Amino acid sequence: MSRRERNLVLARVAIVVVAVGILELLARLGTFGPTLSVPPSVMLQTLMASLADGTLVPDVVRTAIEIGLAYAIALAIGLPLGVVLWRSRPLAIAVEPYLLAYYVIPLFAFYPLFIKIFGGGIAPIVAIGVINGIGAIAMNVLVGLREIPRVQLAVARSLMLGQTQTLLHVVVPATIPQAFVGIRLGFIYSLIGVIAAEFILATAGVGYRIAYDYNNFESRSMFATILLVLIASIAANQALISIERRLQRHRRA
Amino acid sequence: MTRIRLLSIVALFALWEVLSLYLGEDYLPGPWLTAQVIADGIARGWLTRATWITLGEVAPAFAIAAVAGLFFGAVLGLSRLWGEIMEPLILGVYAVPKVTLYPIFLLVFKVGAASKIAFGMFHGVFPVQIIAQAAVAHIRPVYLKVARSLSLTPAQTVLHVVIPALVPALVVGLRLAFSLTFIGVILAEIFASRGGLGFLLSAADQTFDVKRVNAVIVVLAVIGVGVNLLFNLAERRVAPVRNEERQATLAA
Repeated sequence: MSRRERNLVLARVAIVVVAVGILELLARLGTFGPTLSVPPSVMLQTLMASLADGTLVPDVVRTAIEIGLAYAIALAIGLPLGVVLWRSRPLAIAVEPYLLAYYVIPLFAFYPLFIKIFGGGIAPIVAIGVINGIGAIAMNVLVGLREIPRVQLAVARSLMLGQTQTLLHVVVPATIPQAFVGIRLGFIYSLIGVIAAEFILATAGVGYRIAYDYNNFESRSMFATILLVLIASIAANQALISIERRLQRHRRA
Repeated sequence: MTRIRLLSIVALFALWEVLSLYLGEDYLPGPWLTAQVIADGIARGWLTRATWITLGEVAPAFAIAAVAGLFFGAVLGLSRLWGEIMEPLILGVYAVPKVTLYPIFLLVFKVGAASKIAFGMFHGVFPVQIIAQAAVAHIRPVYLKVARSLSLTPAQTVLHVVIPALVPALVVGLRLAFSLTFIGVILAEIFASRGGLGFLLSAADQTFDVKRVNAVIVVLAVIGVGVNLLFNLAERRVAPVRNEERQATLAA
């Protein structure tokens, strides 16, 4: 990391620390009224306590399983879908507008239908996470494949590489940086889909806990769980971004 | 190309019909029955009323999101240092399931239009900000050089060079912002409200009125996809953007 980069990171940390500090101070002074004035330190304590005594653990485990399943299925469908759309131009013309537009429709509306199709339990929630993730994955794979420089494919042909060799040595390396954007966004969108679906529809899971605490005026544990969601999703995003950076640097080198 | 698109719409309706026959109209009313329910909703007014309530909330939320997003995007785009410092922080917030923050909006603004507008705006502001910042930061240097060599004043430069150069990216940002603002308002209405399409959806859901649920979904899809198409037309008019660039994959 260069000196400049390190300074940038320090500046970001400083901003977050100052913001949290101000929030802490204002909350301790009770600026926002009794329900909203929960200092960040109290949120963290409450979160630690509810993780330690196990009250929040089943929900965390359930949500983690749902996100993991949703993401795995979204990858299993989205990656091949991107390839299929690349191979078949008519299919791409037919399907692309839907892949771009379906984010406009609140998918949660389909929950009752999913319950009918998939039964109760975690399956309908997972289904929403899957659908939320597929589009970004497939579209980015498609864009990545389309942007393979023609010259590289020509070289592969002139070297008379076989299909598998072309795939392994030309197509995959050329596509990975862009495809990984989709692989990262797919995770984020699956996560958002699952937690949002829990928040609105489910009767268990981290998202449900936030809604439950809100409805029961438990603002401390509500803020604690919100904090958990914030930390987990931002950390996951940062981890994926740093992998993405490394892949892109690798490509340029 | 148009023929394939038309065929795909036919295929979509056929799939819907087949699914509804397979699952039974008690679970998934088919296209025809749904059309009848929508007609009833328009004739008796329950659907039109809810639609107006929702649009009445989406419009101010979108307007505020657009202005605020453009402003902060431009500010952070112009200052390279602050842009670089803030970008990961903003992208981090963007990756959060924002609906879980809605209770905070409810506690601050109380149940009613204000909390839904505020949340819709919060849900939609990020793509405009992110795209505006990137567009301002990466404006082609040659444009600014030309402006300088023509010795334009700063005001002229902004008016005749900077803004036209940004328009294509901004239209993309606004399209995404509309989608997200729209979904934000619907989510807010589903969770806690007394009116609007989201409220209609959750009320129909709780009484197992699948026909109404379906009718509302169709209206949501028509509004969402319709506005999206308008933005797409605008995008094609303002600049010959490549398809891949238009697909800036921001969504939630």
